[in-house]
Amino acid sequence: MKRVLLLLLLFVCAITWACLMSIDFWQRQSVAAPGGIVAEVTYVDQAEFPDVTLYLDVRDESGQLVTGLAESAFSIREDGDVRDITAFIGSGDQPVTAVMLIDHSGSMADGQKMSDAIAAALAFLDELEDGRDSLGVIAFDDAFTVLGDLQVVDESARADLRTSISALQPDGGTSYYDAIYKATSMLKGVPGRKVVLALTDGDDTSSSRTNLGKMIDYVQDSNVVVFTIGLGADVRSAILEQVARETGGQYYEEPSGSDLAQLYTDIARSLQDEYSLTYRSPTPQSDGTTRQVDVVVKTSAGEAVAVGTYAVGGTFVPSLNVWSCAGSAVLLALAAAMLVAPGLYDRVRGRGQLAEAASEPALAPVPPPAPEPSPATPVAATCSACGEALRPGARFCRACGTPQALRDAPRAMVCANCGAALRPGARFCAKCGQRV
Amino acid sequence: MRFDFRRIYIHTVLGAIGGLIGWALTIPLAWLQLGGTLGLFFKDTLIGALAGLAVGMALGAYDGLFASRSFKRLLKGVLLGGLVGTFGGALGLILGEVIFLLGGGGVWPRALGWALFGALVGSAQGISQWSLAKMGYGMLGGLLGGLIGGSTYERLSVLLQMLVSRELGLSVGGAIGLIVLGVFIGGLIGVVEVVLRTAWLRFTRGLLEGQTVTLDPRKKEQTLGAADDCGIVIPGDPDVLRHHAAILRQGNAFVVEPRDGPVLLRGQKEYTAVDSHILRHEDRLQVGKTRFTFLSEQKGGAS
Repeated sequence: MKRVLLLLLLFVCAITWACLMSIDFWQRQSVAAPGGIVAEVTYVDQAEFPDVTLYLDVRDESGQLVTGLAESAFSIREDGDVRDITAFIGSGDQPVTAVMLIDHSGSMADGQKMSDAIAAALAFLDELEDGRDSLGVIAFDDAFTVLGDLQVVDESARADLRTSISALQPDGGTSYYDAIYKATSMLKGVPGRKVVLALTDGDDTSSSRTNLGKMIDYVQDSNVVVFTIGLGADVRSAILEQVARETGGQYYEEPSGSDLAQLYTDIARSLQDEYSLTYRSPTPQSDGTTRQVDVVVKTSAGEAVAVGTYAVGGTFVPSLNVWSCAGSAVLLALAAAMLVAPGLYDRVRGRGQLAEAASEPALAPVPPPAPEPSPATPVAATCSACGEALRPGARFCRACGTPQALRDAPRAMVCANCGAALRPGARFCAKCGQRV
Repeated sequence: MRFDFRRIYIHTVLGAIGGLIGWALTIPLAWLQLGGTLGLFFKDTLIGALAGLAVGMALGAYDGLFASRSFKRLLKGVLLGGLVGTFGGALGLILGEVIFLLGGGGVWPRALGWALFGALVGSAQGISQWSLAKMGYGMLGGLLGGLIGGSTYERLSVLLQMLVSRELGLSVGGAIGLIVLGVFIGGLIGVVEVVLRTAWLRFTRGLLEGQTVTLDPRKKEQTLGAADDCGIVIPGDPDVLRHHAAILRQGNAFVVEPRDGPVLLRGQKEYTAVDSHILRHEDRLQVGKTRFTFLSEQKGGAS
């Protein structure tokens, strides 16, 4: 019982320690935000690490996007180190890479839902710029239909998408997760910021290829951001919110569809109006740490600080440093000394020695010898090779080392020391310990 | 005394030495410039294998250096420890990286990866002595040690970066990280064995004086003697024969039985030879000139 408790205590200690260590209690200080405007890092792209790209939007106090800022308005620090901006894309020039998901399950037949969704999708398409933005469209019910593969928008693609989106009819179940998974697979491997706009009006009812957890893992793994849009009153907002939060996106709720087209227009504009800043990390090693990036934005209306974090993989950094090599040699010597120290201590204290036979009261006092010589007292045998006298029961000759046939050696049936009867084949007395 | 502090201490120091050597082995990897996820995994595999090799070898040396004092067993322990450590270490770090990438960073994935590393490296001692119980103690101890050491690494590295310099934090942080890891893995392997064992021998005279030897409750027979192939080797006593005696398990009890030589048991006042004796808590025994006490947690012992 006691050991189970002790073990439990050990476990609790270890887990508590790990929990303590997972708290970032040496929080790196952010630069104080003076206010006036608000800046937010929307996405950190580290696919090209050590080159890191930050996407951020800047808004004024009323929440309107601030556009037209120049590169000189931004400065970047990673973990306190000032970094140069190596690439900059200003607002309005930001290419959009998106896949739009349109729910056309049976429940979309209620009221204006289907036509609102179609109008919103067309509004989004209208905002995109030919030759720069890329769009893919997937319609889903029980299954999904790719209305348009991910491609750079141009005149003909626009016309094709218009036709196929407008023709959507509500029918069937809702395979929401499958559709997001498919959209992500279309975006996987494409560089830059990648967005899925996922509209639905109800709970996932029929996904067969994936589930919520797997889908989210896949989306995160592919560096894709999902914006979820819940249309109507029957949406499971908790799940849509979770998908958006865990992928770095945003959740929008539209109880009535009337504002849906405006929402899509806003999303398209906010994506195009994001600023992206690329810099090189001062710590290019994959050391498994989480880095904090502060972006200071200075405008005529005021200043703001946006904070982003990203984590690099790696479990451990090997390094080459002469001083640490010398230091480790010293440490190694120290550890070796620590290893032999207990043994030396024993030697000084005189522990670990076998006591001298003379001062040895260990064995039982030898009982008086048996009164009569035992009849089985061994006859002195001699070595078969050299004739040297052998000890009773000896297996080897002491003089020449020739092995002796054990069978030939006479064996005592009674202990020569105390006279007790011996087990057959015994090599010592079970009573007094005397070797036979 | 239940706690064999020397066992824990020596395991701790051995773990530190393993970590230090492991770090030294990974130094050449600093030249390896690999990008991308695949490169990261490749590097993890190498780091895990090298660190596992070093820690496994260091911990595998315990039996040969401090218990049996036999070169043959030292060689066996070091080789097997290194082998198991290499595979376990690589596997542990790869899995840690997978968790890291899935979970998006943080301290826990690394801690879990190193915990797995510790558990697999810790099993090596038990494997080389072919003892399931020791394997279990080692794995549990390594798991806990890896969890603690692995979670401490990042904070330590960040602290050094903050207090001294980024360069130093990154370079020395790695070395200290692996030493801390080795210390906790080694130390906790010792602690868990001492906490969990149900029966053990404490030597009171002879070369092993002050040390304890754990009896594996799963083994039917553990021989006691001077030979390398004994379950419990008694070194440095010329009066101990090669396969002197054996400790057998009968039900829940342990029974000592003489083999090639006599086993003396201390009665009220003096040591007398016994034939086959059911061991009870605090039975004092003598083999050759070496003395030891049997200690157990089994009920029915006179504890």
